Amino acid sequence: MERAPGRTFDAGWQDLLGRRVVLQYLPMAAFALAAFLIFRNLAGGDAPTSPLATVDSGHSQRLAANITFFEGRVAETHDSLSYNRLTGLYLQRVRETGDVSDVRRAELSATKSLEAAPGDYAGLTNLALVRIAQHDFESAATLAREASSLIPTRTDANAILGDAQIALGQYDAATANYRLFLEKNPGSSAFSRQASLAELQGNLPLAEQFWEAAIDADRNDVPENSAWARVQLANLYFVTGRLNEARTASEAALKVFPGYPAALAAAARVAAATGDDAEAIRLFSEATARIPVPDYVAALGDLYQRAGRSVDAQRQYALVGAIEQLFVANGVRSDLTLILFALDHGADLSATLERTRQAYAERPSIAAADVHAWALYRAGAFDEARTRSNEALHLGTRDPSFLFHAGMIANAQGDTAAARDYLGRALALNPRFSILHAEEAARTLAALRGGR
Amino acid sequence: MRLRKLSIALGLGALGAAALGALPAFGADHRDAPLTKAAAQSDLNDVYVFKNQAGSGAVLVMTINPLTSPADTAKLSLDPATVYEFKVDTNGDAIADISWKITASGAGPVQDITLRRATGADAVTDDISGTVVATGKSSSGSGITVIPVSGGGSLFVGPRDDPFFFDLAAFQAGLKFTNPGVDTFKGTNITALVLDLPSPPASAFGVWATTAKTDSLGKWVQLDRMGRPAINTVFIPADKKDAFNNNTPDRDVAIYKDTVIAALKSLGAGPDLAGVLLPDILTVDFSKPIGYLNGRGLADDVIDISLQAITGSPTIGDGVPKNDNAFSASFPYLAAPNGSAPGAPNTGSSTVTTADSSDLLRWTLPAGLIAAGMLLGAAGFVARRRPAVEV
Repeated sequence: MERAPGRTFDAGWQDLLGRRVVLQYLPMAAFALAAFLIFRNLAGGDAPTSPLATVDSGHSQRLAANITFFEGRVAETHDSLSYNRLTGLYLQRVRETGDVSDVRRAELSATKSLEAAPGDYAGLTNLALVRIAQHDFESAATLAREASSLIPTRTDANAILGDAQIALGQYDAATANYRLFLEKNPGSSAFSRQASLAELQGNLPLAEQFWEAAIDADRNDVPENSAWARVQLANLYFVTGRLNEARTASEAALKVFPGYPAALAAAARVAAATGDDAEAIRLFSEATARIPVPDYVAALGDLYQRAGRSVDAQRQYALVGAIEQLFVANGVRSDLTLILFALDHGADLSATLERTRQAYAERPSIAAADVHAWALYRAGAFDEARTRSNEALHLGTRDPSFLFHAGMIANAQGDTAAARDYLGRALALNPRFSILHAEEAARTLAALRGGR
Repeated sequence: MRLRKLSIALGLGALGAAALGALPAFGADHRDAPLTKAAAQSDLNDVYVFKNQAGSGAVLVMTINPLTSPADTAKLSLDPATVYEFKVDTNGDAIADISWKITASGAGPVQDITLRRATGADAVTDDISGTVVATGKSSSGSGITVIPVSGGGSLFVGPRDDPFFFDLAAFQAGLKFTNPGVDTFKGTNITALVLDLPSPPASAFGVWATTAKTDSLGKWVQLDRMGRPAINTVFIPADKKDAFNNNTPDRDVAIYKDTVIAALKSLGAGPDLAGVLLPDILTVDFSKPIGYLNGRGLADDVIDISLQAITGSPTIGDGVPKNDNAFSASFPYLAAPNGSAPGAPNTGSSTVTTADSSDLLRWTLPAGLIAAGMLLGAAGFVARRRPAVEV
């Protein structure tokens, strides 16, 4: 396995866990875009292209034509099948443009479908998909269960139920549902879910095989979906320090779906890890110009900070703050990435800790446990932090950021043996796992070993 | 930080929220994996059996890939992992005696197509067995690539206008039909598999189509089957539909007669109808005029025929008496796909004649049965427009 020297970028493994996946912010990004356009001069990323530039004209035009066609059909026919088709098209466009109004259109379309055909399997699963896009996982799970009980032999609902359960931290149940889906529908969608499970369990070679299987089995009907799996593989390579392979995979994703922000971000991380910060800044600027995902904006700020361009960095951080306030102003519930950003960029600790508690209470996933642990550490509650950190690691997930948090917490407790172990494992996975924390991890580990 | 600009941004956000209404919640950790749904390629929409242009041969048609927009029509294809079959029973025992098996290879709109003819045990199984009788290319756009069949006959695989016509929403709303009605499938395309045989397999025979592919263990799983429109989806409860699709017609009576009778009883109807509903085979007698229920022509208004038979009302109908595009008198009979360049044969009238099929429909049902049947079948409607996995 290649161990690339040089600088790397924050957040690789978090991406794999979905904590910082671009798509989770896409619907919100339309609101953020309003802020972004205003902040454009203020934020001033290097060489940004025009926001929401057409990424693949052929595909985008076909998608638009499809939506126009079925909008016309449902206006005339009002039937459930056409509404179902339209719902799926809206949900795909959300993935590609981040336009939040498409989520609402999808919701209305799915609702209309169920009005025309109450209790219909496709209508229920479509509305469940809408709820997933809205990150209302409890509702998604309820709808998926209803569909599944209607026709147990069809397993699309099980895939959606598993997605919701992963987000809610119900891993055993999710595993069972993903297995049913895999048995009935062996294909790209099932393989990618198995890859996610393998990552959660820390079985990275198996995860790699499943991502490759997902890419191989993909029929390339929807370029964004094809690119998405390649980005996941790129992130897996990155986390384990295989930078050349990560670059190749992200380039493959960009070839399948040019301009894909998630792929640009993956390529940016590789550039940053190889010490090419200028290229990383350029790529992150392009990604955030397309869709101002807070994750990428923060990363851009961190890169500016590292380059000594503190004014530019503060502009990016201010933009993250603006996006966050937009989230809050719009009733958005806990956002783990924004909480982590707050914890690492000096926000008010007591308020952030409370948000963290709330997030963990809403959905006790390992990602929420990790963020909660880190907040408790910042607040000096080391024993409670250790309990949460143990919970974050209980699946065996090999996330350098999780391990770094665990190491710092153990060190604060005076458990030097555990601290050495955790920090050593984090740095072994990726010596530059985080732009913000890799040096601190290395310094702490060196001190622990030197003081032995 | 320039607070003034920040406050402007927040103000915009609030406006956006007000304009867009209910806001989605965010901030969860999940991956948003796509959910690719491939079922359309194995989803049988309709099956037709009618006399060919010469009048002496038989045309077998199945359609898949429902509700395709013109914009997506260039992407239509068969699933290379699926075997598409016309199962034919020539002696009335509801067991396939002949099967024409169609498989495709290659990606993209133009695929390599193989047609096999299997008999006996090979006709019963979903294995890709039998003798290769045709190989050629599928058609794309409005083009017609005729694949000649050894021993006579032609095969067409490619995009066409959906020949089906029906007001689904009015049906879903509880038979709230209007005149004229709205053709739900107007302007949409499907993939058609059209087999034109120089002579019928027998003077009287039964046809059903199947789609099958291997599961994760390599075992063939029949994903869909269809004989007549309507029967299975309306009268088989939702939780048994997949099992029904995976079954063979010869077992229909043994396995599903009680289910169908129970459904009928709960609706206040007598059990005799079950004998008509099962097995689910589209039968045809070539010595008699062809028209639904004796075979099924492209132009046959199977909805009105079924509604009238079920309700006993001679006037009930969905107000959609014909397809939006005219059928062709010649192979491949179905109209060119919507939104495609002109040039393909797309004129003429159907070769099908409408027969008096009243002798096949001696049963009547209370009008409420249809609504109740709709509940049984959920949105899955009469013509087996299985709404399983749209998107």
